[in-house]
Amino acid sequence: MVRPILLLFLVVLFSGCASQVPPAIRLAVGESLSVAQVQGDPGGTRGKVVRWGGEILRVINHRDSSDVVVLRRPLFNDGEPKPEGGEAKRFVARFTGFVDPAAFRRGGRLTVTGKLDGLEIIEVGEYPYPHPVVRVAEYYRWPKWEPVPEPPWHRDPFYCDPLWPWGRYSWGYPYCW
Amino acid sequence: MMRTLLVWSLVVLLTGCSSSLPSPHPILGGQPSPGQILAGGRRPVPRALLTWGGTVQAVYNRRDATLVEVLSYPLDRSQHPIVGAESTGRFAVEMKGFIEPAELPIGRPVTVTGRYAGIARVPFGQSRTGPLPLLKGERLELWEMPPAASRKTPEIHFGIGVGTGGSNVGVGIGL
Repeated sequence: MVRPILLLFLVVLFSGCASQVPPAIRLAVGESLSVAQVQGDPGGTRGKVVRWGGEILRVINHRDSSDVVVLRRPLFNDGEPKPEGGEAKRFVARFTGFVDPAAFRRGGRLTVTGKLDGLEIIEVGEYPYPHPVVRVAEYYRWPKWEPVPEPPWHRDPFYCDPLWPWGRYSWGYPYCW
Repeated sequence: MMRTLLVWSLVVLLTGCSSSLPSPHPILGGQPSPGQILAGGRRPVPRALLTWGGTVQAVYNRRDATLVEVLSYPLDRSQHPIVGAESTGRFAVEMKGFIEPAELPIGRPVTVTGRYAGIARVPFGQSRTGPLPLLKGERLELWEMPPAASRKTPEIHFGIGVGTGGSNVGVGIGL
């Protein structure tokens, strides 16, 4: 009797930790190439595997493939794109088949891994912008970025919540009197 | 002897504070705003160096340059546009080279230093603006997006502090 309960308990405990992010996205792969490096040497970098991510700018649907234009941002260790910073250059994540532009909305965050496949020139306004192409092997769309609010005691050394432990910040601030 | 040394040390000390940036007010009596120029008020001489700021309204990438339309606001002492203030008109700036338009979303505060290039109808792709004062930008500074108004929640702080200084002890209550 005790056995199944323990098992159930363990399942509940660990399922909370299970991530839906594919391992290939969570783990850094290959060497870390930048968009600028690939633009400078599209031939020499062809076939190399990258893990790139950033902000979705637009989707271009072709007959049997779809290009998602992404503004590259630096990644956290687990592959999640930071909301800003980095080289902020564009690349194309090329998917086989159809990708729904309604799902890959502008401003969403995407991380892909795959092999580099040269450059694709897509115009931005009138500017011919050479986009490195990544043939997508794995990808993950991240939920909307929500900045963690800074706890008030980071800013205010005399912060004290008189409602503790019933106040908004009841957890984690034990020094209140 | 001591005098000269003192003077020298003051000179060295104070020059450390002077900035190598172009002066924000190169024109006597303050620089005219885009709105004043368009209204036919004071016109800067061609190629006068101006510093204006505001929020991005439109961006267009040409082959060799980037055009930005800005809703102008007065600048504070750190050259940051005061977005809450009354707008001082609109202007256009032309920067050499490519600037990523995704980094210039509508509403992003910017400060521009550039040379005055007259009043122009600036082509933004298929459309073109009304007549706007145009700067040939030499420096474009991006500021952080203002936080969305909805994110502002009223916060009430209540603090009690005790401080000591020398032989004195003070107690303070703050709200």
